[in-house]
Amino acid sequence: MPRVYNTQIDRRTFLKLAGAGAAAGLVRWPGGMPLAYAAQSPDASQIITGKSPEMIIHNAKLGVMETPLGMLREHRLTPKNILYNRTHFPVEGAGKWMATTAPADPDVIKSWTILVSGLVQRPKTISVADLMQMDMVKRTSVMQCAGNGRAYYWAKAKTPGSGWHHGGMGNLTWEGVPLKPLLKNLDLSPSDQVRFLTANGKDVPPVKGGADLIKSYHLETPQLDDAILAVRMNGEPIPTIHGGPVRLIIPGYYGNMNVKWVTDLLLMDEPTPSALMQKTYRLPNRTVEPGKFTTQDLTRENSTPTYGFKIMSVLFSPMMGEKVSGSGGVDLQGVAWNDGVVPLTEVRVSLDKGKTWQTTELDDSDAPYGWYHWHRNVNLDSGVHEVWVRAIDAWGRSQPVNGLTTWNPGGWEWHGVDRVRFHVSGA
Amino acid sequence: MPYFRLWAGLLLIGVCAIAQAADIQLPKGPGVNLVYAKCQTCHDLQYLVDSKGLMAAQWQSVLASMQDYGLEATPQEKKTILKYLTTYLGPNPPPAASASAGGQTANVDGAKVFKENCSGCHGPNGKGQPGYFPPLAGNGDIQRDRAFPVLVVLNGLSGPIKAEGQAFNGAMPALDHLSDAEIAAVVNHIRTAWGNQSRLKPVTAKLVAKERKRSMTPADVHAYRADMH
Repeated sequence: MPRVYNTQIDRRTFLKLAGAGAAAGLVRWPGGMPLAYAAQSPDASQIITGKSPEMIIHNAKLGVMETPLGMLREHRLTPKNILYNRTHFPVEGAGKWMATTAPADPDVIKSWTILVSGLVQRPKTISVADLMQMDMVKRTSVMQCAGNGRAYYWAKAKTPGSGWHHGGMGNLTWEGVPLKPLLKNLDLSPSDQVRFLTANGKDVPPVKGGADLIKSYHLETPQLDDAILAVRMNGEPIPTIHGGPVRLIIPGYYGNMNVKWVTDLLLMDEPTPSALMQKTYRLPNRTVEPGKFTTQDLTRENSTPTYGFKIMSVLFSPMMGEKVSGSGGVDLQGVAWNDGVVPLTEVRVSLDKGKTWQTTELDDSDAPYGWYHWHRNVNLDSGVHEVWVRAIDAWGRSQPVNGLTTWNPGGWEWHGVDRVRFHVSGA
Repeated sequence: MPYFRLWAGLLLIGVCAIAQAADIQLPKGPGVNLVYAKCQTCHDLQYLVDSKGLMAAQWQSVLASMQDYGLEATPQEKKTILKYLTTYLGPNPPPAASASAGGQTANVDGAKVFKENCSGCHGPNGKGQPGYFPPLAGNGDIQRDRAFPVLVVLNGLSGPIKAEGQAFNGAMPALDHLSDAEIAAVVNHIRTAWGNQSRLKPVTAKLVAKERKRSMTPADVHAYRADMH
């Protein structure tokens, strides 16, 4: 079966595709703004040790960076040096310990503990050393920033936040201890008021009184049954920047929900009041218009946190603006995924802007939480073509044909039909 | 949240990246200095550049969120910041360089420059914030070497330091958008304010211009400081 893993796309080609501004060290994306940098902006390897210098930087101080699509598509499992990163506090100064893909020092791992408490009669402490002695399971799952694709919303109206395209995601294999059985075995004797699990990690805000990144989940959510306290990523100890030595992995849930550097787990009656849970990473429950409803209007009643992934598909090949040969047909290839609760059933492509759709061949070997790879060979004349891609799952959930209909003030959960224009020669 | 106990171990893993914020220049206009001063404590200015084009209601909402994340600003300062953002980073910004707010004049008020650019972190009386931002009042470092505070303002400073017996490990951003005259004035101000006494010759704009030519990272300034001791 043809795959794109070995497709070579060098930096020069990428920069060319990314636009003219790239030549000056600036990357100009469609829908994005030309970025006003001085020439000596640091590259990703200077911000986070071990990251590829080709990463697209969204915020140097916070270590926020995106994978160029041409690199992302080369691997079935996303390597740590090109995996996107979103941290919420500076990765310099007091936060510099986070800024590496190396694992934590053995002494740190040995002394790391997690306090499990809340509305329980018997709070317990578990150590990472203990976890490592327990039976572990593997989960192959998509990790994706809730802001991934935000830049596409900007065709309708600007939102605050970084202009992610499709590279704020990766496909990874995590290894760790199943969470729910662990909580049960700890014999905490929780109150019958308990409805939520709350997780907090070692990272702290750089200013006094700043909101901490704390997350809460409904205990009955199906993905929590598959959650693990992970200690390994892609067969190695978790890179520090990605949450090592221990990260809560809730497969099918957006990145911010997968708390890094876990130090505290609480069983609670209410979700955390942290502004990073209650004021952001939330979508209004109804359609809102730009400027008429802002992130400050979000309440616990009128909005929902960015929990499970919206169903989504992305074209990996050809990429936007790419020139491909048409002889022997053009192989359309990409990935698709959803929240993992039910399987994807089909990925369809359209070559006439949605009038007719054709099915593709689907590979579910990383299901239910990992990427489904799909492909279809099509005959195309020489010239410019636009392909649309749409995934459908067993509950009939699909992507909006016009993704702008789900515009929201935070620019979260882009999952519009992917529309890609490319050039075919010599058909 | 008890995170201190981890640092020692985690720092041993040999993090050697020279983390430095991207040097992003904002359109000049009234209030821009306050934006530089307030908005780089937690993130760099790429967020602002990327959010260019937000409507007034959206910028207002952003500013309100930033208070949740720890922004400290007086109501007047917030008004100034909001006015700047909605004017220069709004949907219809005026043509560039129409308003030059850069105090290029010789008579710059160092106390005013301090208030607008430095007091957000170092405090109105230069006392800093324990555990977060070092004090300038009584801080011997600023009196040791004529150029050192100039280099800090021009290039930023990151890495572990001690000041007045307290440990800090922050990352001050470069404030190199300030003019030579403004930097000279603010350095001369902090050297003599709040009971500080200086035996050094006052800094001149010419000296700042000279120091501006050597390009240093915040880590280089940290090394310069270590050599000074």
